[in-house]
Amino acid sequence: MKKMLLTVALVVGLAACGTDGQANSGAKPESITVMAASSLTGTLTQLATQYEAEHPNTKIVLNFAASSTLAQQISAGAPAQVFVSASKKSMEAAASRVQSPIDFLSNYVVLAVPAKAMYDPCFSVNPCLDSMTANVMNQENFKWIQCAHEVPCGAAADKATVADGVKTKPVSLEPDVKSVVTKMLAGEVDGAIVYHTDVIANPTLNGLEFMATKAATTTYSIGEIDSGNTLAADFITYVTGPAGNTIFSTAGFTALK
Amino acid sequence: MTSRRQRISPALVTLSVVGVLFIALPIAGLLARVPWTSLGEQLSSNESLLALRVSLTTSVVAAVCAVVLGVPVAWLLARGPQKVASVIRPIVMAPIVLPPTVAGLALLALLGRNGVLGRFIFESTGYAMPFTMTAVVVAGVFVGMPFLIMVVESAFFQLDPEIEQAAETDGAQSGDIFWHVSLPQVRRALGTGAALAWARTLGEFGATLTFAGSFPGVTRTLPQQVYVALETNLSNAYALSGLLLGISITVMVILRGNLRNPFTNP
Repeated sequence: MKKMLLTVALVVGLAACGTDGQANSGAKPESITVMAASSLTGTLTQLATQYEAEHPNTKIVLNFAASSTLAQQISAGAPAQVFVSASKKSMEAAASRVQSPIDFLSNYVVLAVPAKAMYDPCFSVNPCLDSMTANVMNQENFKWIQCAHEVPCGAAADKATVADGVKTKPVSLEPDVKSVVTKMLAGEVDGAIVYHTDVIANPTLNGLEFMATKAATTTYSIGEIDSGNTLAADFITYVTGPAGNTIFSTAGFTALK
Repeated sequence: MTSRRQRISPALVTLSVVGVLFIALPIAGLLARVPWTSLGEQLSSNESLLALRVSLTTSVVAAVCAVVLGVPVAWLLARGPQKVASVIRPIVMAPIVLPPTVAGLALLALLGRNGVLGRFIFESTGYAMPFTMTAVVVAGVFVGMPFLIMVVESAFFQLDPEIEQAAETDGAQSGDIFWHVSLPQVRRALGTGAALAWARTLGEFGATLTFAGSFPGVTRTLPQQVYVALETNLSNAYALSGLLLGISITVMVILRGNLRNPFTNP
């Protein structure tokens, strides 16, 4: 009897290992998982909450990471219904499962510096024709970081720094933009290349723009994974529609639609 | 002599098979994906070599530091006043269960440019530890040393105090007793502890990323290179993973005798 109880306990314990944490009882709300670029953490969370309030019995599960990381996970079969990428390149990397994505936002990278740091815009000796941002970054002992080259915010940072003539190198290539912002806010670096929207969201930061605006710009696209889910399609319409436009514009994004 | 073989419950056998497969199958899956034909080429790519150099340098230095600092701690815990030991032990063992990212944050809070201690260092000397190779070593010692302390403390504890007392009676100084009597007796545990600390440091990811950042040739270690390669060069990621797996299994094979009785066999 004791033995049988032990066996039962073990089997139940093992079965518990396999649960995925979803409650299956009662009126189960319709749920979708959205994989989105780190830079959309604030805005998309707000939009999802708003959507759930307006559409009872729906649940939008959000997962934020670098778009390149998400594209890789989606290609490997991650169970999700919507992908929002911070670059066209990462969206293309998920093309096997995401058909006909829509370009709907643009954003650009800037050099974030502490709001209290005062930079003489032309550094007196330099003619004002130079990129002020590059001048700041080319100072001796100016410690700055950016995203890894593989991540959209890093790709944009690479293009902008080359175009503006930045000669110094970052001290770290971080896995996503959240990690860059965190280290900047912790005061561990003098500057960090982040999105314009990250600076808007953090009043303690100032953004210095690059002269090569086109190089610094990235386009966000959204698409349904393995199409056929009505909630996913409806959420995409909501995000790219007036409700989305309001929230994204306030946060500093440029709506493309 | 009676046979040690006993009747084994079929349920236990089934579960043990499931348990073994649970760990063995993902390892087999990884091995199936390692690009064996181009392995040399993948591992000798510039980025892989840089990461390998950073990882080997920092993990070896960290293991040495862990031994130098950890053995005296282990000695204190085993032979010092037990009231003190019972307060210190949970603190120095904490990194074993602490999420690595939290460990990194703790180091940043103390030694970062804005940290409790780091601020004074930065203001007086201009030196900041984050984003340097030293930061990778410090993170490694923080997460690795507890493993060494755990194993070595237990070995010191098991020693027969009579041998030390005999040495003392013969007029040996306490320092000499430690170096010539106690330490030689725990050399196997010391080897096991150092290897475990080294291996833990080699696999470190979260604390390193949080505290030291990630830059090729300076702070980007093998596990971080695997993470970066995942997005651009999957076969490179599998090749590096294969290398790390090889190292892990080699360490475990070397330690197998010691691991069976890490706490009873000095």
